[in-house]
Formats: sequence, structure tokens, C-alpha cells
Amino acid sequence: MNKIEVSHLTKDYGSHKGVFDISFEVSEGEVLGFLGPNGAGKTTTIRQLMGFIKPDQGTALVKGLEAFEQAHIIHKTVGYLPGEINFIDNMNGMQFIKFIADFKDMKDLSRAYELIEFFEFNPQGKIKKMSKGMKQKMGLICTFMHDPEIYILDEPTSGLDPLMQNKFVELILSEKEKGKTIFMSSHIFEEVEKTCDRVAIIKDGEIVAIDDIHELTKHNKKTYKITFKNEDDVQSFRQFYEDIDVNYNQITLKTNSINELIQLLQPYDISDIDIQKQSLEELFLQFYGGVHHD
Amino acid sequence: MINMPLLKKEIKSSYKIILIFIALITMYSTVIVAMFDENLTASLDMMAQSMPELFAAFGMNNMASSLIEFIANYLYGMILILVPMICIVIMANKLIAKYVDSGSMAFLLSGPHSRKTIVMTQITWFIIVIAFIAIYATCILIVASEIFFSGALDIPKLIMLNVGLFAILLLMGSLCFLASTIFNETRLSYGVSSGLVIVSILVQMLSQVSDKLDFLKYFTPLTLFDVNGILEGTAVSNSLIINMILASIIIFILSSRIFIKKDLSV
Repeated sequence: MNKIEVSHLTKDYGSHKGVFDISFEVSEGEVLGFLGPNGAGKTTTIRQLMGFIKPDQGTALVKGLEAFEQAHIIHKTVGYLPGEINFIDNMNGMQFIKFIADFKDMKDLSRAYELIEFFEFNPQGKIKKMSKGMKQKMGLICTFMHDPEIYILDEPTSGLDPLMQNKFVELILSEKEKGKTIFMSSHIFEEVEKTCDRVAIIKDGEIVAIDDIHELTKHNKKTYKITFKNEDDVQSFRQFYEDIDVNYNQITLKTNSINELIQLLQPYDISDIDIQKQSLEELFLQFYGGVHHD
Repeated sequence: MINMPLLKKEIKSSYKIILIFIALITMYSTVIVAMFDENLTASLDMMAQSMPELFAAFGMNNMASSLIEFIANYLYGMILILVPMICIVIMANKLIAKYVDSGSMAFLLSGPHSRKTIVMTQITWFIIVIAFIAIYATCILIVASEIFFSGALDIPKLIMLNVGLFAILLLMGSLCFLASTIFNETRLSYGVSSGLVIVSILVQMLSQVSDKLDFLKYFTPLTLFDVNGILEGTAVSNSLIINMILASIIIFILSSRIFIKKDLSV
């Protein structure tokens, strides 16, 4: 059964801003990543799923219910994390968590305390004084504490340090284990790679691909920057790859076969090797027809 | 229909502001009542005669002979409208527009309650605050009058004056609330609602200055609060009160429709 179903959804803000005729679905127990650069329409899509804004055309259904009209019924079993977290000021962390718990008609706060411990969050501080990362942790606690069936998360790891990002991945995987349905947006491929079953890629308000994560990773060539000790070695090494940039004793190349690269590099004296993460833009371009873009 | 946790939260976050305005009302009301004195009235009347336009602008144009007339003249012409209105403008903007502008509305909208429940809760608290101000003003005036001039106050008339005060504050409040639901930025909602209050008051002041500007009274809702008519107990002033309350209800319903239907990019 599809927990989330979006079909031909259009919200036009003019001058090609918004989302245009997008369709996808998330089935029960699935984790769908929603990838796209800033301003691609991720948040606009999520707002329609949450019933904050009405679609111009098309439908957004959650659990088979119409997202705008039946928002309050849907929200009983949905955990939502806003992309930009703004709390009500003049409360401390715990007061806010308790208020949200009350507001969600929650009786039992034990899951909230578990999450506070899990994220090593200090809920006593004033919200106004909290850093971006602290606010993000608090948002995550408020999203996960009522143990909903469906999660809709808008850039859930923004502002978190790498340690907490890993914790977040851990949390998502354990929720997935419990059979939860998760829809999360991101602009970082690596984050989605670790957690999602499928990925939808949105660009300029249109969905350009929906695919299995493994399909995408297969195409995800990494960029390696290799510095040789000896400049002469560069000349002999460059023959192995067609697409290679040379800069004195440094070369830059792209490949998705690391084993081959390591074998080729074995006889050489290397002073440094740097692996660069690919930008989303590069990923699209590679994914569609292998056009190179530098 | 309304959500108790949200109502509690609103009470907690606004009682301090309300207390400040209650303190202001207490101070002004007590001072004005204490000032009532036959001799002072005579000298105030002399002052009023020497600069009738200025006194008229503030609604102090009647020769007050009784305590209730004195109170009506010096409190209900301006102070007891202006002071509560500042509080009401702040409250109206705090209840909806501030949540939308700051983005914290996302937390309310993503909860298991309909927009209707949210907006009804906010309206309920807003009306309670307005009613509380009117009731408090009644009480403090009765207490002050009994302390300074025991038995001199016409209490039924004071109560009627405050029913009228409640009606005009409710009407102005409903318009401020409407602005709060229409605009997504507090900059705009504050601008419109405080502008409305300032213009209404200025136009009323001008209309009272001279007969030539009398027509201006048709351009301010404050005219609907007919202090002299209420003191005389005219049927017109009573029907004005009922109409103000009915109009407020319609405006509140309209505001909640707008809030329920609109796109909220939070």
C-alpha cells in the first residue's frame, strides 16, 4: 500500500519557481530520499504533503487522504520536521518539548527522554540562545517522540555535526527496521545513500529521476586528486585514463572503480590522495548521458 | 473545538503584557475618579471653555455634574479606548501573524488539530482578554468610586458604558485579528492594525473639534460607541452595541475562513 502518493502535483509561483507536474509514491516501510539543489522545489513539495499550501493542480495523498483538507487526521500519525526550525521563543527546551507533547495529545514522555539522551541534548537552555545544531536536535526530538507511522523530514541533518549526522542515520535505520515509512529531502547525496531505498531527484521543480539507490550509486563516479612525488611519473600514469587533468605533479580523474585505480597506482610513489565528493549537479549530468561538466 | 494546551500556552505567554495594561488602566481610572470634585469640575469647565476645541478633541465636551458623567467624559472619550487598543493590537498580531512570520506556525499546523481548532482557540482567548479588560475597568471604577465618593456612582450606567466599551473594543479587535490572518508578515499586520487604530482615533478627534468637521464621524468606527447616548439610555445606542457585536462575530468568522483556506508557507 502506498503511504504517500503524489500525482501531477503543480504549484506555480511564477518565473519558473515552484513544482511542476511531479508524481511519485512512497510505499509502506520504504525510505524515499528527495534530492535536489537549493530552490529546486523540495520544501514546496513537502508543504503540500503537509497541507500547509494547496496544490494548483494534481493531488497529494497521505494514507489515501487528501493532504490539505484532511491534514489534522493525517497528522495524528505523521512526524514532520520543518526545513527551517523556528520555535516559540521565551520557552526553554523542555518547556517546548512538553508543550508539543501536550499539543499532540501525548501522555507518555519516555520516548522523548530517550531521544534527548540519544542526541545528547541539554533541554534546559533558553531556545533563543540555542545554536542551529541544538535547535535541529530539538526539532528531531519533537518529530520522533510520538512514534508516528510516517516521517516527513525536510533536510533533517542541516546544522548537525558529523557525529550527530551519524546518530541521525542510526535513528533512521532503526525506525526503518520498525517498518516506518520515511520521506526525507536532502541536498547531500551521501546522507541519502546511507539511509534510503529509492531516491527521487528534483531539479527546477521537475522530477528528473526516481531510481533505486544502488542504480544511482553505480553511476556515482568519484573524483580523485592524486599527487605524485615524482613529476615524471605523471607522464607515464596519464596513459591509463582518458579523462584526466594534469597540473605539475598532480592529476585529477574520475572513476567508479577504486580497485582498478589502486592497482594502477601501486608501482608509483604517491605523496597524497584526495577523494572529492561529487556535487549533485555533477551527479545528474553523469546520470543523464555522461556529459562532463567542469 | 478549542485546544487546551494551546490556550494554556497563550495565557502563559501573554499574561505579563495584559498585567501591564491592567496597571495602566488602574492608574488612570483611579486618578480620574480621585480628581472628581465639584470645585475642580468648575475649574476644569472653565479651562474647557477657554480652549473648547482641545477639550472636545479628547471627547471632553460635556459639563460634567455627576460622577458618572465625569468618568464618561474623561475616561471613555479617549483613555479607556486608546490604552486597551494598544494591548489589543499587540495581542491580535501575537495570536496569528507572529506565528506565521516566525515560522513557528509549522509546529501548530503539523499537530493533530485542524486549522479551525487552532484559530478558534486563538479567537477564544482574544475575546476573553477583551472581556476581561472591560470587566476589570468596571470593577476598578466601582471600587475607586466607593473608596473616594461612597454611593455617588450610578453603577448600572457604568455597567452599560462598559458593555459599550466591550463592543467597540471587540469590533476594533476583530479588525486587527482580520489583519493578522490576512498578512503573513508582522510588519504588515502590525502596520495595518495599528494604522487603523491611530487613524480611527485621529479622525474621531477631528470630528469633535468643530461642527464643520462633524461629517468625519462617519469615517471612524469609534463613533459607534455613543457615550452620551448610553448615559441617556437611548434605544439607538443599545442597537449600536448589538450591531457592533454582530459585526465583530462576522469579522471573526471571516478571519477564521481566511486562515483555514490560505496557503501558509511556514
